[in-house]
Amino acid sequence: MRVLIINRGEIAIRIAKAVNELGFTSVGVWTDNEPKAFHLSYCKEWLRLEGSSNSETYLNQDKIISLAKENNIQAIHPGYGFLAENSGFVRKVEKEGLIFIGPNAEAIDLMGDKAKSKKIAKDADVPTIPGSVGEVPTIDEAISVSNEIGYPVLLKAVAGGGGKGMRVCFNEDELKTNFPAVQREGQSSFGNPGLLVEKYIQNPRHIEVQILADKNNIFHVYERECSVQRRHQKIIEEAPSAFIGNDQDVRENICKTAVRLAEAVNYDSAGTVEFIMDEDKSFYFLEMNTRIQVEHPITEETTGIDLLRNMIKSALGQKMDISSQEEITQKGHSIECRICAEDPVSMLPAPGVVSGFDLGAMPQGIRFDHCIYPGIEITPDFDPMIGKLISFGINRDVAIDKMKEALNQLSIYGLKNNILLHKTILDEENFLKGNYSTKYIEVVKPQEKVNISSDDYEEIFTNVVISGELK
Amino acid sequence: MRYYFSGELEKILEIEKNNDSFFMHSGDEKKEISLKEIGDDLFYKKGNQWKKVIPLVNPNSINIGSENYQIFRGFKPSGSGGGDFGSLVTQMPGKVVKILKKNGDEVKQGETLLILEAMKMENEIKAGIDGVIESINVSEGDNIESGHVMIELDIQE
Repeated sequence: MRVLIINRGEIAIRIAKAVNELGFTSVGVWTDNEPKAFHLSYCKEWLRLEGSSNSETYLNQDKIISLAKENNIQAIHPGYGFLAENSGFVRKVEKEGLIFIGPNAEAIDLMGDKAKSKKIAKDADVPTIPGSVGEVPTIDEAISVSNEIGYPVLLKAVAGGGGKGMRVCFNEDELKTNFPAVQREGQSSFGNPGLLVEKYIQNPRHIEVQILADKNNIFHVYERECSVQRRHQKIIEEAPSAFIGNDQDVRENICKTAVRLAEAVNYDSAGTVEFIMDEDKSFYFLEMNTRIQVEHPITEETTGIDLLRNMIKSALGQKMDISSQEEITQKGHSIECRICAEDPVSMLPAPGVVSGFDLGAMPQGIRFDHCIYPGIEITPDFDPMIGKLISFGINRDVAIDKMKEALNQLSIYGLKNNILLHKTILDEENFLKGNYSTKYIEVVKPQEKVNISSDDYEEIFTNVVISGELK
Repeated sequence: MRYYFSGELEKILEIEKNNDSFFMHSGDEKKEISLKEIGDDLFYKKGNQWKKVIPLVNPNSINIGSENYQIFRGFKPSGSGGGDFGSLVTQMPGKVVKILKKNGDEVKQGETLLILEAMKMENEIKAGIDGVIESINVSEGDNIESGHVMIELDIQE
């Protein structure tokens, strides 16, 4: 079996490891602007994917399929991003008699469309955010919907987006004042005065459930909490959710709900159902990601189930490593810190060259999935995430201790990175208590507490000077 | 060898080799740094602790948190160079018009070492100290980026 990996960076490495361990041939690709991509060193065969831009390479469906056919490939793994959730690509791959390692095209279509996925969720008895059914034409109607769902509510222009045409109303008076204002905003910004009303979740937690399925079984592999986010992107994730804590009823309920949704679309691969959870632990379906996700390792660490390995076996029609839901149990606690080439204070991407890289002495329980080597250039062409530091401990405190030590040990020189931001968050009391929502970065502002100690300066300057003299 | 770090702070460190250790000067402070090789790694002593030396590939700059430091190796020349700090390193992209010295030449403080054309002006890059030219890393006609180490000077004993 020859498996083509159409991705790069840490996920290409993760996939290659799983392919190799199953006794198959991992085939990696390189593009003209990245001929020495680090992931190649983990693949058994290397193919050139001609071109430089993403549209010429990782997104070029026809080129990828011809390359696969010319090189006697049987299966294609898309990783995440690029073509991972493109049903058109899945259909083309299958039409050529190749196997797509991921879900069926129809499940991708159904979950990829916001309106369709919401309808499927409702039909499958999966809670969605309560709100008006369609537009509310008058203030009176908005008031009656709001009384029904309870305040606070969010008034949203039908065509709104990017924070425009949206206002939170905590009571009826505010609703009366805001209604005409949002109508005008909708008209002036989007040419549409139509309004929707929905329940406003004040301090939402992002909780997601891992699904692992084949043609015969759909299992959940428990939940992850991913509320530490900047620019709507996660930077720290943990499993199990600290917010759900010991509330096993909530845990079982959210996991079973996710399975119901997956069943409704005949899901048959690894995937993730995302929810937001309110302070009273009621939860609402957000979307389903029909791919392997960045943060999958924390689920692997706390359940012992190799998601990549099983995702591949599932696609090939082989029996997965587990055959019943009862075999899947959560143990201990795992945390992931995404290491990104970005300024730890502004959190903006900072491309550059890694001049020095050292793992130090990583403690027991640490896994580092990464694509870093000394001399590598991180370009603005790709996502700034360059690695994922993952800790596992018997409980949350132990996982935090191990992560803090791992962050102390890890050295990445020459390239701005967010190691210091992670250290700051792992010392911050709200995070330590497990009391944080998706507004954490915005409200607690740990980035403003990032501190460089005189020891940091001394260590880095001394290292530059001594290493410079050794050449 | 002297190292300049230029960023939010300016720091000058001077280092001398001494058998199994280094002497490092920082301002008026001078201390000996012991070294020990274990396996493939080299360690230096900081206080009572040993720290691993992480080898660096072409370190022209270094990050510390959100701060960035340009690293200049060699001596800070004075005069009408390309800037106020470490003028042996280009402060802006430019073209080397003429090189007036060669490797091993002894030079006096204020002597012109090379001429760099940048921003449509010719700049004389001068020596900031009495010293010996240790290496010349550019040729006449070269177009160079900012941050490039053009000449390295060593202090004259």
